[in-house]
Amino acid sequence: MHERRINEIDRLIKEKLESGTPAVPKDLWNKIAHELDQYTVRPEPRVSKTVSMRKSKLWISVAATLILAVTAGIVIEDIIDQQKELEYLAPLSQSSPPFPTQAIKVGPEREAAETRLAQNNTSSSAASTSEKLHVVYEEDSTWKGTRRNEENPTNHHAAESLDTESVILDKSVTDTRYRLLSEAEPSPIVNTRDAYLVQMAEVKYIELQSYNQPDDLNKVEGLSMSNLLNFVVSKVDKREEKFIKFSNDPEGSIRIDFNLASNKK
Amino acid sequence: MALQPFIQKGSHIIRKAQRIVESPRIESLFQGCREGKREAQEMLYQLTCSKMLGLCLRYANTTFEAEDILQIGYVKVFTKIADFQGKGSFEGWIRRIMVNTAISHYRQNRNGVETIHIEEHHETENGGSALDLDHMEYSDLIKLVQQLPDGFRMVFNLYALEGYSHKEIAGMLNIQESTSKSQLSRAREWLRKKIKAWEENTYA
Repeated sequence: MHERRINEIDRLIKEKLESGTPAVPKDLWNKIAHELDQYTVRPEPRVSKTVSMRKSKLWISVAATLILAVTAGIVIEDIIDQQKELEYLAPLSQSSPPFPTQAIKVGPEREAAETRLAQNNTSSSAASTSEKLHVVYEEDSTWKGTRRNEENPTNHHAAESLDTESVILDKSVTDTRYRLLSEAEPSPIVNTRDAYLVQMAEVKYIELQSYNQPDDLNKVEGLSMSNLLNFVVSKVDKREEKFIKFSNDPEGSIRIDFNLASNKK
Repeated sequence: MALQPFIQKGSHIIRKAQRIVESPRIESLFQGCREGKREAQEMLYQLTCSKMLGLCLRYANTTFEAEDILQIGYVKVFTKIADFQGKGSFEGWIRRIMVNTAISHYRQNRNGVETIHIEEHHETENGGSALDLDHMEYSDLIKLVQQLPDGFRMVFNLYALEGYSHKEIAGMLNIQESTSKSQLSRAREWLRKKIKAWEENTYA
C-alpha cells in the first residue's frame, strides 16, 4: 500500500461510520434466497447428456468385452496346459517301463544311487577289488536282484554264479555317458533300494524326453482359445453379428476380427 | 475531555477484538457456501449483513437504494463463490464485491451526466477549526454522506474509507487521476461545512 497522510476528517468519519450497525430489514434474506433458488433450478441440457451416455456405454461395453475375453483366455489356457501334461505322463507312470538297452544320460539322482551302490559293494565284499561294478537286470524289467537277495540274504556273492545279461558300469568313464557292456562276468551284490532308485531315474528321464514333444493346442476341438473367446463375447454381445470374432490362424496364432459396420445402426 | 483519547482507543480495541473473533467463523462458513448449502449461506449473511449494509449506505443516495445494492451484492457473492481464490480474507472478498456492485449501480444511475470540476482546489491542511463528531450519531453522519454529490461520494468512500489510491479510483470510475484528487478535497470541504452547520443547528 502506498504511503499517505491520514486526513483528520477522513479518520473521524471512518471511525464514526464503522461504529454504526445499521438494522437490516428482516425479509431481505428471503429475497436473496428466492433469487438464489432461481439460479440453482436452471434447467440442465438433457439432450447432450443422453448422447454422451450412449457413447460412453458403447465404449465401456467394448472395453469390458476385451478384458473379459483376455482374462478368460489366460485362465483356460492354463487349464488346457495342465490337461496336456497329464495326458503325456499317464501311460508312463502306470505301466512299468522297460529298461533301456542303450547308453543313457545320467541325472544327479542316479549318480547318487550309484555311488551308494559302490560303497555298499566295497564294504560288504572286501574281496571285490575289481574296478568294475556289476548291476544286473532282467529283460522283463523285474528286478532279479530282489529275488536273489531273498534267496540268499547274507551272501551277496551267490549272484556271481548267475549267467545273465548284465549291465556293467565302467567306473573309469567319468563323463555323463556310461558304456553298456555285455559280459558274462559274475555280478556281485545288489542293494535292492539303490538299484530301484537307479531304475526310477531312467524312468524319469524317459518321461522328460517324451514331454518335450511338440504339442498342438489348436488341434483340441471345442476347447480352443478362439472358441472360448467367442463364447465369452457372445455372453456380452447378444447381437447376431458380434463386435469381435476370434478364429485360428493357420500359423497357430489367434486372429481377431472387428465388426465395426454392424454398430453403425 | 481528557479521557476522550482513552475512550476512543478502547472502542477501537473492542472493534478489533470483535473482528478477530468473527473472522474465523466467516472463513469456516466458506466451505459450506461453496457447496451451495443454504444454512451456511444464511449464517454468513447474518454475520456480515449489518456491516455490508453500512458499506452500501455510504455509496447510496437512500436507504432503499443501499438495500438494493446489498441484495444484488449477496446474490453475486453466493453465485460467484467459486471465483474466490483464497487470496486475502473471505470477508475482504465479500467487501470488494459489495464495492464493485455499488460502483456499477452508480454508473447505471448517473445517466452519463456528470459535472466534473476541473478547477484545481488546494486544500489547506487543518484549515478551519478542528472537527468534533462526538455529539453526532451514526445515523446523522450517514445521512450527511448520502447527501454528498455522487462524484464526491464515490471518491471519498473509495479513498478515505476503502483505502484505494487515486490511480485505482481513476481506473474504477473511468475518470482522470487529477479529477479523483480534486473530488476528494471537495468532498472533504463539503463534509466539513455540513458537519459545522449541523452542529450549529443542533446546539445553537
